[in-house]
Amino acid sequence: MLSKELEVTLNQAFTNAHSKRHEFITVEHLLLALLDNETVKPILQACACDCSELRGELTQFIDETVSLIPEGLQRETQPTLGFQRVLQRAVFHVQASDKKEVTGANLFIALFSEQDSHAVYILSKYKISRLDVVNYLAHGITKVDQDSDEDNTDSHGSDNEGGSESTESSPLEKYATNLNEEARLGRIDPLIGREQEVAHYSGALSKTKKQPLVSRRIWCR
Amino acid sequence: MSDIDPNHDDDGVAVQETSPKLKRPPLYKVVLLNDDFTPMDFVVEILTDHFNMNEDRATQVMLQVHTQGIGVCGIFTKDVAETKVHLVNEYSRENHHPLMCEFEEA
Repeated sequence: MLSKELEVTLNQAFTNAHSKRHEFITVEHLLLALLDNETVKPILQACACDCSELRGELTQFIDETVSLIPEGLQRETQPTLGFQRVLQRAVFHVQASDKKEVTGANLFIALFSEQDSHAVYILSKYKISRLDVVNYLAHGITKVDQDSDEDNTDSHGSDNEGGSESTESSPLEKYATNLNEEARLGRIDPLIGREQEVAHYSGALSKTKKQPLVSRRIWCR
Repeated sequence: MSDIDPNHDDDGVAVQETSPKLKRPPLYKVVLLNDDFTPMDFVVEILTDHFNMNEDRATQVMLQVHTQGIGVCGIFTKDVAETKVHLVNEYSRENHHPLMCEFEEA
């Protein structure tokens, strides 16, 4: 019923909560564990989410609000009603859509329906909505317009701090040509025999805000 | 004159509606309700076992339930409050006591 990777994730959530003597395993614990789930990771990337920050905020929230099992008492860490509801919703959804296995992604979606949940609050704070997630899973529509999955993982790995900036500049990169970059790569033909014009333009550039453009006309002889 | 088109009274400046502000979910308090049938000892036991109170604090809250009809056991997130209420009510029924535990917005 549950897929292998999901079982691993749930197990991880339980052992983590139990080792810290948390009285309950909550929806927030579940979300935290899901961040490491293989089926959830690509969703978060598609939503352009800064995982490390999200993880930090979740951990902080759990540490602040959790009730601990008092020292000296031997008690099991119990799942909260909310946790059980999320699981149940995911299972029902999978049954209704005629699939065999419940994946981490199913749980992630089911989590959004929890009322007044801090996990959902934190997710919306990072601008991740249920619609974003189901859009991605159903049609592969991402919030970042990046062409291939490779691009996605690359940019995610390299820019941990400037994540949001790169997603904002991506439409520019997509629809416009960076002429400086082109010139640097040698894809623009060099200007030959136009010393006078170049001097004139650089003079104009230093005085006004207007940007003259040298368009190429072919003079061949 | 009074009915100016609302789209034109902004001097041609495009206005964008602000997106609704995100509200932090409220916390909930778990309360015990008084009744004439549940023994005081049992209430104290619940308070020490489920809400991690010491004997003195538990007796205090129990007396508050007894005299004022309602006593606050603690403040939690909705998820946890709901679960605590469920566990306490289940435990009371198992022991054949009509003690009622509820949660409400803090």
